[in-house]
Amino acid sequence: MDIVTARQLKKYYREGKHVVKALDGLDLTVQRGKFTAVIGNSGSGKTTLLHVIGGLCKPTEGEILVGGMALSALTEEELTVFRRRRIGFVFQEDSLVPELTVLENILIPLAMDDARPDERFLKGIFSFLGLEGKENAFPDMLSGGQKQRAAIARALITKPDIILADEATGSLDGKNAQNVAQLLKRSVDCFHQTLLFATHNREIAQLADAVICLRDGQVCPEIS
Amino acid sequence: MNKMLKTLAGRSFAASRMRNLIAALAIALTALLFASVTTMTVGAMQSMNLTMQMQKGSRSDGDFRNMNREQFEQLQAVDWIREAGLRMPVSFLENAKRHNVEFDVLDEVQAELTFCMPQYGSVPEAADEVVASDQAIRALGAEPEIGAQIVIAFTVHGKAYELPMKVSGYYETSNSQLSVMWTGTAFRDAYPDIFRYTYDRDGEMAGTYYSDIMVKSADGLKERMEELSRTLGGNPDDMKAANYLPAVVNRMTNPAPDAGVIVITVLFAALFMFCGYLLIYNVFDIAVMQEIRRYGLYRTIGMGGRHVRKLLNCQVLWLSALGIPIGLLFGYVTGRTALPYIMEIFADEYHTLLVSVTPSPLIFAAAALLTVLTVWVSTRKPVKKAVEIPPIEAFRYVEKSTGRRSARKSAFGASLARLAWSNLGRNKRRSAFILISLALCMILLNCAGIIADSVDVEKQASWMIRTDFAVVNLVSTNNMEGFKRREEALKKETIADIAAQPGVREGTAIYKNTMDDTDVTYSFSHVEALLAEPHDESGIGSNMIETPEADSLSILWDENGIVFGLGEDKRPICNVYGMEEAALTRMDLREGECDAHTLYQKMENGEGVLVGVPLNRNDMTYYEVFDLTEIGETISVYKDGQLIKELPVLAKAGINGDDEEIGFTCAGPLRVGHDGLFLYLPAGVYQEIYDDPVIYKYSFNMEEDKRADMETWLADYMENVDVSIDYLSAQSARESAFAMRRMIRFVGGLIGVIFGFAGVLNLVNMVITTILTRRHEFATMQSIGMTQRQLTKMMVLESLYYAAGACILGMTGAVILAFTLVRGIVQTQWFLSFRFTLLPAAAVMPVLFVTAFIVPVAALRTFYHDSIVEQLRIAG
Repeated sequence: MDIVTARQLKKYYREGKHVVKALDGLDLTVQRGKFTAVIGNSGSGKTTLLHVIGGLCKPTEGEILVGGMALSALTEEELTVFRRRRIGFVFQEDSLVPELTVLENILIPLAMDDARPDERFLKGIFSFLGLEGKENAFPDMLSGGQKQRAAIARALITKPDIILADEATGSLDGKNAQNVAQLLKRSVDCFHQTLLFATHNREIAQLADAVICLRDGQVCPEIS
Repeated sequence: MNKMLKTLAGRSFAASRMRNLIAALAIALTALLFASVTTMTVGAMQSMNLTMQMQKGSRSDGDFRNMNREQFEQLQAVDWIREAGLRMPVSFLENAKRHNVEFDVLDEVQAELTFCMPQYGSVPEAADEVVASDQAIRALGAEPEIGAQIVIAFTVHGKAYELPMKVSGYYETSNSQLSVMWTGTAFRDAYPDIFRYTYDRDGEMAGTYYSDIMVKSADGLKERMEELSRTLGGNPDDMKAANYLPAVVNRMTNPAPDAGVIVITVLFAALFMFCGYLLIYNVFDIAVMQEIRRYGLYRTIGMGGRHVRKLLNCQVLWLSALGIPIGLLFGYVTGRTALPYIMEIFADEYHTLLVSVTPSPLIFAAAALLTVLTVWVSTRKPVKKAVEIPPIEAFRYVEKSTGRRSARKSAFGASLARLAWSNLGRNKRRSAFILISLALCMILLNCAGIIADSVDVEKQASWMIRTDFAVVNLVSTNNMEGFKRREEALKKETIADIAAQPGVREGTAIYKNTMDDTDVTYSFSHVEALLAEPHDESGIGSNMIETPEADSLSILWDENGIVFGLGEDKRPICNVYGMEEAALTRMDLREGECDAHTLYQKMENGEGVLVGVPLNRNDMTYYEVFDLTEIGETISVYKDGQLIKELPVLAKAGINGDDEEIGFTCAGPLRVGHDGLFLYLPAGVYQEIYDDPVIYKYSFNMEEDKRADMETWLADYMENVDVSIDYLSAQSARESAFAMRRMIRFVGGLIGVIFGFAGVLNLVNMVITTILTRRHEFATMQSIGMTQRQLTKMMVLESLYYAAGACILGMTGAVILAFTLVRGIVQTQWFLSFRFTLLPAAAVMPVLFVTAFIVPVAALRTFYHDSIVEQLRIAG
């Protein structure tokens, strides 16, 4: 069953006098419950694709359905709620709020909905991601790998439809990168979620159930 | 608010100390600006009110008079009256020397409202106890002490009383002419005969009830008081009615609203709000830009726009809670310190001016409200920016130039100056705000400087006084009193003592008619037409009011509202002056016979009279409405209703404050002849016409080296020999003009400095932000060979460009405003003569350049001192 469907998706940016075609008539589907890797060179449109799927920006043209919901029709406020409840983001760089503890960082999306965490699920995440004992630590007290694990925990906490990881291992060394990628894959399996992972790293892509290769804002048919 | 948001708001607030310090400082500065100006304004108004109230003798909202006991008791029960005092007039004391003492029965409310509460001792309890002013006690031959024994003498209902009394308390008074001695209701109970109510039959005041009142709300007070007077069975309108019960609003406490003052207040409030806006907007805009990535992150992980808005509003609230009280406190202290300097300019117009400002909640509430409003307006746009920026835009935000640049070749390569220049346009709006606030500082200072320099000391002094000194009775320098009675005349011995002093030259005594001289009246074509209008058998016409009160005259008015005080035969008594030739020589003769000597001789021969026409101080031309006679027109002089002289108008003179009474005040003429005519006669002719001619002023010049001695001598003489006199000197008139100049410089300077401070704070904030946000860029430049010294130089150059831009803008603006707005303002004020200067603006330039040099050097030392690697790491 498809969780993401894109039809003739276009996203153009204007940079000065030039128009950058980040996504240029892209068609794709992503299957629910699978780990799908998005690969491609710099500027191929990987990050933009994740941003469009995550509702961070609207496409210039075309249709994007996530969990059956047409994002183009949503207002800014509806997109915020959509992101909060149905999407989990993991970014390359340190994306934790430095003034909040690890636990508080993880609970932000729930807090914005005035929702209480599922304590068992929360415990399970902490245990699974090896963050036990770090609940009250501040981000600057964590290593790079621990920070990314905390970011993964934050992405998982709302039990979203899909987790979007944009170069989530890009700032880590080879071994740590592999560990985090493995962890993400196992999380998806363990918590029955869908993962869309944008990466340059072919080794990480090999862990995926499916691979989408992008070039100049379009899917390369020969690889996918 | 969501608990998580609170936590986040609190911790991120605590983490950004420098940013918060600058933001709180910006808010505090705005609050300081509002609080200081509000304190000065409210303080000036309070001081003027208090002075006027003290001169009037009451701080109540209004008063009711001539009531009987029943009416007074009903008045006390009225629900919209908050406080009603009791005053039962007895009489003026007959045995007080050189001081008028009014003896009344008062209660404490009335004593409090009429400034009669004892400063020493206690209120009177027994029937033989009194509270009086120190001067009243002295006038009765005792020293002001608690327990002092005095005797009071008065006549009521035709019976003379002489009663021994004991002083239970006393207060100090600044009025040397009149004060109140009072006793409590025990006295009324002990002497019921004194308080028999016979006013409706014989006009005897003893036995009547007066009451000064304080009301819950002053809205529609006049109408409500008049209605109450009618409800009590009185008549508030008809002075001749037996049940006349005046209900008078105290205009000193409740002045009528002045549209001009309201417009100026609104304009100044808008100017200060703009200053605050420039400051706070920039600070918050920079703060939001610094944190924009963070807001992007918040939005990405599920925070809505309203969450971000709440978060920012919460921080704005905390910063306001920190900055506003500090600003209000310092603003109050600043305003309070400045107030006496501002009040100096009124000191000559309002004699015995009292400077008073209390930390009224009104000051703080008004200033806080304006600050909150400014903060709210200023932060809307930055908050909106943070809320509305698309999350992905915010997340990858890097500050870029807001303008367009075209590619071009540079002949000079990447010089530091060029690098610094190109950095200026990164945020044009922010750069513009810094330039505007710095330039406004220069422009405002220069405007204030021009206005201050334009204060024409000689013009102002010459309006107030035509000689080196003028000595008058104290009443003449009191704008609530004025010279109006013969008993207020200058003593001949005093004049002789002054004239005998070494160095006195051209001394001239000036005679003036009074309200006691109603037997001598004048007629001329303008009033003949008015008097020809219908009138009743007693001679009262529709354009005439006859007053039964002893303290005012019947009046007649024309279609322009020009009022004439009337004598016994219902003709104007005019303001008539008798003078020697030396005094006439000093007058501003404009029409007819303009040779003073010839004119004086002709007048001495009875050939005519000199008519004075009040001048418009702005352009020094006649006020048309007061110019009531033509040269050659005959003015008829009547005495006891009989024509005694016919005096053609030989000449007309433009008259100033000195020609009317003294300095700025003309309260006396306004009570005697009212608006006219002003007639000037030789002393001999004047003495022929009036039975009991009195001198109101002695004017004289002094040899230059003796002027200071005369000031000292007069001060001593007033204190020890003749306490009833006061004087004005040309020097003190000049001093008042200088005081005005100082005040304009001070207030203009204060506002200019606050704008300057806002500009400098913006500059500091901009430089610090630049360092923090461009840390990576700086480190990169250093990594490719730029030295720390070159980096500092580049930042200093950027900062100096701002200063140079502000100077160019400021100087240009100062010149343009000087010849437009400022010249326009100057031309509307009679005491100003436009004088252009650029010195104040020029004086600011070095300060700006030095500041622009110091700020980046200090900021770099503070915020950018780690190694290049460390900077790259922090920035990354």
